[in-house]
Amino acid sequence: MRVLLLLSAILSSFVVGAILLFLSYFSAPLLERDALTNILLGEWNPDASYGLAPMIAGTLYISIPASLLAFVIALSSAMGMDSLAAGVLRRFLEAFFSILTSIPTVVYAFLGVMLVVPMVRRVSDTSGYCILSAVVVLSLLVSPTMILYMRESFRNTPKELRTAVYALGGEEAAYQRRVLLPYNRAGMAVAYMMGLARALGDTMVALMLAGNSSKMPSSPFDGARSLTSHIALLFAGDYDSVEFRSIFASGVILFLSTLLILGISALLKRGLSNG
Amino acid sequence: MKRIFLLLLPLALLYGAKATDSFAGYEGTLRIAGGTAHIPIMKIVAKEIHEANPAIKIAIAGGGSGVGIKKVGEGLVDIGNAGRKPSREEIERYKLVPYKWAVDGIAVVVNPSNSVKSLSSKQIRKIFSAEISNWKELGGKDAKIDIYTRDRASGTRKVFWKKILKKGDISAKASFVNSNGAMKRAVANDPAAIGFMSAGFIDSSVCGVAIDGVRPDRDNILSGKYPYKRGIYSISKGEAKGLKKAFIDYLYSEHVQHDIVAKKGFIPVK
Repeated sequence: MRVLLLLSAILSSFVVGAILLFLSYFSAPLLERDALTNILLGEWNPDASYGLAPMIAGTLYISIPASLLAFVIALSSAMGMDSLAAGVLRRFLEAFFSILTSIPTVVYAFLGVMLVVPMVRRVSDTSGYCILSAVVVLSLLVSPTMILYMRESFRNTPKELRTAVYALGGEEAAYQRRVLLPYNRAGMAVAYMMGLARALGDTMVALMLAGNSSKMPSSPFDGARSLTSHIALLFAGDYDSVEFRSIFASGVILFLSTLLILGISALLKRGLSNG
Repeated sequence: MKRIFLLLLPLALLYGAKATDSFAGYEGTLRIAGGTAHIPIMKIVAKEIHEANPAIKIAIAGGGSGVGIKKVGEGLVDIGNAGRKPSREEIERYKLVPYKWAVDGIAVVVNPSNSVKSLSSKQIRKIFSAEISNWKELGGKDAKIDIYTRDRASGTRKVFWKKILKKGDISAKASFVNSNGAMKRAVANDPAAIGFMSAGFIDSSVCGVAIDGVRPDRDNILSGKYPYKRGIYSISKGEAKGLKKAFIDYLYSEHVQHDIVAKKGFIPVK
């Protein structure tokens, strides 16, 4: 049994390594044509320059604000749920948020097109397909994931601590500020990182809401193209073109950044744990 | 074979037969992918065939003309659809046989609420290169122009770019949509939008712009007065045989050409 488990662990890590090798191998022709610095920092102008900088910026401009906004939403929801007594309402909310995490992202994106885009269009002189719309919808999409991770962490806070705070004359607010938040630093950091990873990897919301323009964005009302949308858009193109190769380069960048986030969250978990 | 079919047609009509009868005896799945302008017609045709002979299943996917040509060439689908003729290299490399069964106008479209309904081809080039960026400059209301474009796999984009833009620039600020249907939705929902699409897709939700005074309506495209048009192709790898052949012949049948192709705003070839 142990051998079997070990084998499957080796196999899955082998697959992960193989994916990275495969992606790098296929993006090699791009490197022959354009220098690495140009791929990372240059503009996207097919036939002349295959820089991914606008897509990297687009990915960050969409996923970081979205994950921060989601963190605020998630933290307040998780704290609110924590202060509720165990009962129907709390069970209902827990079930509600787990259902939210399992709704396909295309549904969120579609609702965004119908509801958020027209609203943004009305308040700004733009088409509404822009970073702001994507951020709003993406934060709603990511927050249930963060809530679940936070709930998991909050639930493991020893019950005696709350009793102790109340015994000392403290109230819920004091408990939350003095005990719950400091005690769950690691859990909250991990929740944030998991949400960020989801925001970075999401495709449909950015593809359907951010407008996908390949220019370096300079305001929240500008259109932007994330690396994932870039892959989805080019995927339909000519398989032999240099353009198509940039799909694999985008894949490598996404792969490495997800790996980085997982690494950081593992370190944070260790560093911030209650020791 | 087509001639035999045509010879048999009056006979078949005599016996009260339908065009779908040519599918009797066939079974299996026909996989079709590519051009998104084709999809509305493909869907109706597929439904008719499936109803006449439930043993035939037809799977239709989009992707764009480039994808259609690539996929049929590599044998991933049975029929590839394209809104442009495959290039000579593509035909030679994959031994493709294109069948042109309709002609379609390429129209520039705006939101119906837009008062600008006529543009010169020069103005259109300036709009798409972002030299003109406000509808006010064209006599419309004061609103920034929202440009919508398609990705480079799109045959509609290729023809639009070559024939209307004369290979001019499309601003990198333009928003990208990935099908004719998505283009219609985007322009229909955005009062400041401009985009381009298959004239067959125009309905009351978007407005086809008159280019140099000629509207992209059916009569003008049919008479050749509206010059921006392209062939609608279904492509087979090698000469079409069996079920593939029956399907392509069906596209050329009088019923499809007159009752479906023409009604959907395309120009029949027969």
